[in-house]
Amino acid sequence: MQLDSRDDGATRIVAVREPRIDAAVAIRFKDLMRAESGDAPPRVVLDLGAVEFIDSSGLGAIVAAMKQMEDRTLELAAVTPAVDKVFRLTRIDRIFTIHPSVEAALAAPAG
Amino acid sequence: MPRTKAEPLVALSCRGRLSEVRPALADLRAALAAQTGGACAEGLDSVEIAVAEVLNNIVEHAGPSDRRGAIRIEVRAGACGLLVRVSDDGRPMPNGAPPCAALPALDVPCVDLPEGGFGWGLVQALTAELHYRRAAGRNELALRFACPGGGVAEPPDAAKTPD
Repeated sequence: MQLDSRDDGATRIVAVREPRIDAAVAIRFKDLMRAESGDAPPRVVLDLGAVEFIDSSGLGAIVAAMKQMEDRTLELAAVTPAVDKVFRLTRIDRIFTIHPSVEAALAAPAG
Repeated sequence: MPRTKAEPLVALSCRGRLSEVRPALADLRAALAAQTGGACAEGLDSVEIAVAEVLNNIVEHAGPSDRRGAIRIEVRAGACGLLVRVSDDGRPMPNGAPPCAALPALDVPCVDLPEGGFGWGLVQALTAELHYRRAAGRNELALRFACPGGGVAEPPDAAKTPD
């Protein structure tokens, strides 16, 4: 499990460099996200473009990551079809702002 | 659920270990993709997501098992969709039935948002039928997917958008 991050103004882009966020890596993902958010600007965008698959453990880890953001916001970008399906069926898509791409996230006002 | 005596399209087994879940899912998806000629990626996603939840549940709750064949997965093409049977040699389901499939509520304050409890709701949402039984010391889950497999020509289900 590897995350890469870069800051663009008041936004930190965190890219998941892993094809799966599942039970095998969910705790590691949550820990890495805590480290990423510690000194982050007010807005964090999670780039899921490389993630092809997520299970309920991975979904829970993303929710946990949002909850540990404190007064920052966590938004999602570049969701692939299988991940989108899990988000829609669990209705998690209703609690996150989801952008079609990182570029769109950067062009959008913080929300 | 109709039973069929046809040879399974796919049959595979693994140990009841978390480390074996990913490889089993990869084998399942590759075998199904080969059977269906790569058609219906959305259907393959549905099968992979649901079977992932079932396998995670077995490893976490039925108890780990190092026996080869602790978990067996068989896929058959039925007249009305793909039939997937997953069995394991672990503890029976509490109360002899799968857990409540209701998805957790999300209309709660951020700090109370659920970090788990989505698994069975996902399985339920992805399957047209779901049956559990205990037989010969094994748990058996039968899942039917409406999306086609084995050349059954139906469009993928696009009617599940919640809005």
